Amino acid sequence: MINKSENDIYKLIADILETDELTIKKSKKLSQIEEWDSLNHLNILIKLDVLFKNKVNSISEMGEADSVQKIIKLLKENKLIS
Amino acid sequence: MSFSIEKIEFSLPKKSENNKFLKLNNKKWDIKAIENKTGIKKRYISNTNEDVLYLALSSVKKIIKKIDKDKIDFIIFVSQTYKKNLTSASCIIQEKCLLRKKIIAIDLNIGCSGFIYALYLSKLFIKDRKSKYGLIVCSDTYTKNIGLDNKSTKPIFSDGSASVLISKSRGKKEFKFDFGSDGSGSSDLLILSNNQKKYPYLKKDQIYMNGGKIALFAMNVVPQSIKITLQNNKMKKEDIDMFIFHQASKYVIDNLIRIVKIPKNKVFVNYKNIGNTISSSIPIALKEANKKKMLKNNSNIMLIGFGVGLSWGSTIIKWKNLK
Repeated sequence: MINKSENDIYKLIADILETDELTIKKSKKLSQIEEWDSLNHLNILIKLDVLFKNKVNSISEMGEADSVQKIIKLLKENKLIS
Repeated sequence: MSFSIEKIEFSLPKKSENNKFLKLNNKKWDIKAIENKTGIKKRYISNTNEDVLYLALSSVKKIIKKIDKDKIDFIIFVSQTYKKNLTSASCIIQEKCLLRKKIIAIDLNIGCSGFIYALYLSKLFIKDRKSKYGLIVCSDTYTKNIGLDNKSTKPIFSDGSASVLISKSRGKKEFKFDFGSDGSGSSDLLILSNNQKKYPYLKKDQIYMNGGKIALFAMNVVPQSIKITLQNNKMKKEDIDMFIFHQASKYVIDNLIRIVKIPKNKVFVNYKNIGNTISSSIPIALKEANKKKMLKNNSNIMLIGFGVGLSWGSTIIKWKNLK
């Protein structure tokens, strides 16, 4: 397992969406964040794939994950974060 | 006995648009950010008269100008946006281009992997029917089904047609192919048949694309397909002189380069000034790479198509400089 935590994921997404980690944590859906769009969503998925050394691209449900909570749940289910 | 690509010609609509046009209709879009991600600066947009068949006939006519048409034994037409109800476009092409009647004419409804499927069928026809020449005609007009404000698709897709003359070649290595299909992703890239609640911002007949899922799919299956094709042909990555991917976008191709670990100078791209032309993108890229003298005679070129379906395919060809 690559040593990353939930907080690292919040930070990564916050950086892409140009906001703070608290906003990301509180958001119910990523699309509620002003900077979110389909291209930034793609950016999030690719940055996660790079971070987890190409292990995210095989999680097909990740493309449907529309909230940070769902992303974290999928990363946990696939044992990428603890 | 195998096949060679003898000639490639392509036709693009008269009208092109750059990214300033996107800004005109979408004041809030960050055009620079979009351009950095897609890598696309210019797209070709068909007008009402430039339909799939018009563009196809235009590219076919350029090809058949200088060859004995009677030697053409098959036409494989690849399109997803040809809208005649019953008659296949390949039959219309036979008639309009005055090709002989004793010809195989078939249509394939496949998107961005369509050229690879058509190459495979060409190989079979050449082997089984002893065909000397055949035509692959790719043509699509996705932009007719894209709204001006669709951020996932408008900055990417372009219209166009490419025609490829395939010939029998003796004594050349017969390369193997790899293919795959996954209908579970059919709703990730489609034309909406009615106004759906799931996509309230899209109208009927518009293209919906889940860019994230399509990119993940490509990043997952394409590296595997490359590996399988190399194994099937008893070759290594290092034996390939040039990789030509379907010209999806900068984002997708850059990530495939990262995952497959291939040097950037072994990947030809031309999405910047043409955009993503669906099944025409690989033949157009081959033609442009040839023009720029980036493909050496007798070199090994890997071709990889992937997209809507979901569907993918890859193979290797031995390059022969185009006539």
